[in-house]
Amino acid sequence: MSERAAHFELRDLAVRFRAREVLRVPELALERGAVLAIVGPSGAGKTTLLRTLGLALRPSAGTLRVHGVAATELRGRSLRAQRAAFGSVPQDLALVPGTSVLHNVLCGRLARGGALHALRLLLFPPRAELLRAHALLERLGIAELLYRPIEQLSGGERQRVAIARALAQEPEALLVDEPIANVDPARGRAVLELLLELARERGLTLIASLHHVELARELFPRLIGLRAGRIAFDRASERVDAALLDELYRLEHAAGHA
Amino acid sequence: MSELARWERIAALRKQRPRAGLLHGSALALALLAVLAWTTGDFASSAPTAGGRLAELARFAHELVPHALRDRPLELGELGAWIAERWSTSGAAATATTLALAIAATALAALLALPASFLAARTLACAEPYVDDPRPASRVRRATWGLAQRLVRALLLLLRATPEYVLAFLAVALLGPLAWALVLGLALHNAGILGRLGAELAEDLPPRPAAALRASGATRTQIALLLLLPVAASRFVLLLFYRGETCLREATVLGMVALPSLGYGLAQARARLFYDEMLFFIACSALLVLAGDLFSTWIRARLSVARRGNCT
Amino acid sequence: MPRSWTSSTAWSTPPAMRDAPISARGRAPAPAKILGVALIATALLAAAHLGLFRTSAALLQAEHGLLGRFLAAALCPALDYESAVPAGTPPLWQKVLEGLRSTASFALAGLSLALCFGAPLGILCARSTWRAEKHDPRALAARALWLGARSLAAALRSVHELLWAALFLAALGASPLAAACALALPYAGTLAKVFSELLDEADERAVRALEETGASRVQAFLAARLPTALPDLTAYAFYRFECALRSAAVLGFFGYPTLGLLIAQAFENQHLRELWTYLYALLLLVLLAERWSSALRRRLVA
Repeated sequence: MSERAAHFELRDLAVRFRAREVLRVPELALERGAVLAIVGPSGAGKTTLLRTLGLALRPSAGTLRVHGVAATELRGRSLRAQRAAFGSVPQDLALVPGTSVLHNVLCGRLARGGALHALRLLLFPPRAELLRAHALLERLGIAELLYRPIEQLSGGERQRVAIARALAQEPEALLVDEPIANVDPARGRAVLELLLELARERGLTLIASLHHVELARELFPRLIGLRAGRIAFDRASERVDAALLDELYRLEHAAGHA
Repeated sequence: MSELARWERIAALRKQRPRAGLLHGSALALALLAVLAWTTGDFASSAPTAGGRLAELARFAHELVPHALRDRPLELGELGAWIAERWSTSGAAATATTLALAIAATALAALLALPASFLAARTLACAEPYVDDPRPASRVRRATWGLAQRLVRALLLLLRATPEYVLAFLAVALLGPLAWALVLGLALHNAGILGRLGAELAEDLPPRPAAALRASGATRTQIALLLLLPVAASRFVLLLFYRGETCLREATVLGMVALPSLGYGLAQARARLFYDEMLFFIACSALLVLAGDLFSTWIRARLSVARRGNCT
Repeated sequence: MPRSWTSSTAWSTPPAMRDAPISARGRAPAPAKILGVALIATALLAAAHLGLFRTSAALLQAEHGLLGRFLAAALCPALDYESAVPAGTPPLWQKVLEGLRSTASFALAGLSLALCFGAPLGILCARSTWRAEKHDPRALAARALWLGARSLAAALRSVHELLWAALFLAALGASPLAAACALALPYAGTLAKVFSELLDEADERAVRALEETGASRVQAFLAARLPTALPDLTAYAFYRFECALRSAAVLGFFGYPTLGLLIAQAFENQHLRELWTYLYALLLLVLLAERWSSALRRRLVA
């Protein structure tokens, strides 16, 4: 793991589902601590890119290096160790139904041991883990929900639980898929600001996919535009103008007429 | 926040956490009762004493081997011949009778359950079915329908609470050792189950078409037969196959009460201490039940695929 | 059809059909008509094979005196012994209580044993347990183990508890332990089958999410799949307790001291009113268990 190598480095990377190519990235490098949003129309491959970066999806071709190590070659235990370094907040949040907030936050601590560790952690959480979980939830403003079943939580609260689970991993990078898709607009800004704050305060690499391009341009320093599985642009937000965005969101059939 | 303060905060939250009192209490109670059942009463004294039991088991294992083949090296050919001989003398007939028993009982259960499901469905068995604004039906009419619906429900509940074996035993005792008695015993219990499930099917059907039919002057019976029955029929058939599996399993033992079927042959063999024959009958029933399971699973899968195809 | 947890028989509906959509079409398609005709023909054939049509006359000529007395006895179950009993015999209500206690005790012993074997077997029977990546060389071994576990569960299930009881009676004599085992074996098979289906049906999203952030398969099972399925698993186990009570009562017909024995003895002695007392006791026990488990189910799946 060399200090000089970028956090993520993609080269000639392609993801295919059956015969269809859904993502192709000739070259992309993301430095440690980079904060950026992936924007683009739905179906452009935003989620696929995020899942590939998080090692949840194995690319069909090309290489993905994490800190200079070829992550595409990882298997078994070393793959799990690398995955644990990425906290991810999926769009559907994927909380465990019927369990408490605490259980879900502790799920972020699983990768630190084996099956017995998991049993002890979930059934008889050690004092240190409880304190850590509470502090984390406090940071997110939902400490008093510690023992609440997730079914009793509002959508925004659930999202914070999912963020807490990702942060409990003490990750190097936070991968967030459409964080404001299921939150009302006023709350959406607050959620994004919170994520940015957390990333700054913990020195995390933050990659979020966003359909709300205006907010993305306003809050994120760097944007990657994705269209039909290809990177349309990758530049600082101030250099993303309306024409570029129009081009990105131009409808397919309109493109045919032009 | 200091660590201690945080810890106290957590303890306070823990104290307020919502609890599933009934659930935890029930689970704990059952677990305690199970421990009690194992440690006291019937099971406490019945630990097998090693020496004597082992000898007994060895004797039993010896007697499970077909008579003609005992004390000799096993020859598959002879074993096959013995099985074929058993099968042709009693096994085949007993298996066929058992299967017939299960099928007849399932059919009778369905026949009994159909009217019962309509009478137990809250949406249909009321004074003014499928009417949003019940024109003031007379109090007597409402009370009568409510009572009828509740009575049918209670009857179904009693039927399914009584084990089929007990029903069959009583039926044989009262009617004599007829096939009818076993069929009735098995059918009544299953009618209780099918009736309840059928009532749920009827209640779950979308009310709008029925309300439209009702508004155009159809009677209760017409709604049941012309609308609900055809719509619910395919689901009901699925249920029927599912209960059929259970009926087949039960039919293998009901013969112990009467009627020359698998259970009967087994009871006879047991009474004469012919353990090889007993094992043969047990194997026959296991295979019959397995075959029934496979067939029913297969046909239910096909039926539900066909249904899904229809809907989309 | 929404999951109908409130009914004691909700579990008779196999998982595959619980979420089947309601057909909007009233008319049966042609294959359905063929199926209907085939079903009716099979039923008639079965009835003919059993001689039901031939003997229906005999049904009407059954000994009406006995039937009448039996039905009349339903209205006045015995509160005390119907005939003289030796001095020192405990009163009838004690006998009934003892029958209830031993029925519950056999059911609990059998079910707890069944859970010990059935729950692990259920995990082994679940498809999700053996899920392997494509081209994984271990996929074939996983499939073999899965098939083995499924076959074991099917074999245990396919032999009725009374047949197991007959086998154990012959092997071990009339020991209560044998009765508990006879109950436990098929119940373990059924529990394994349904548990495996419930585990496979459970929401996968949390399981996937945990595996994708570094949790192992076992960990994801413990932290996500098991808790997700737990309400359903618990509800089913409670439902099986109801069934175990019925089965335990029936074991009495094989000489074990449960309510079935009391019923059989009462009939042998023609004590019809006592028989109804025992029947009512059995019904009460089963109905109480049904109320209890349906209250729990409502809470579990609310």
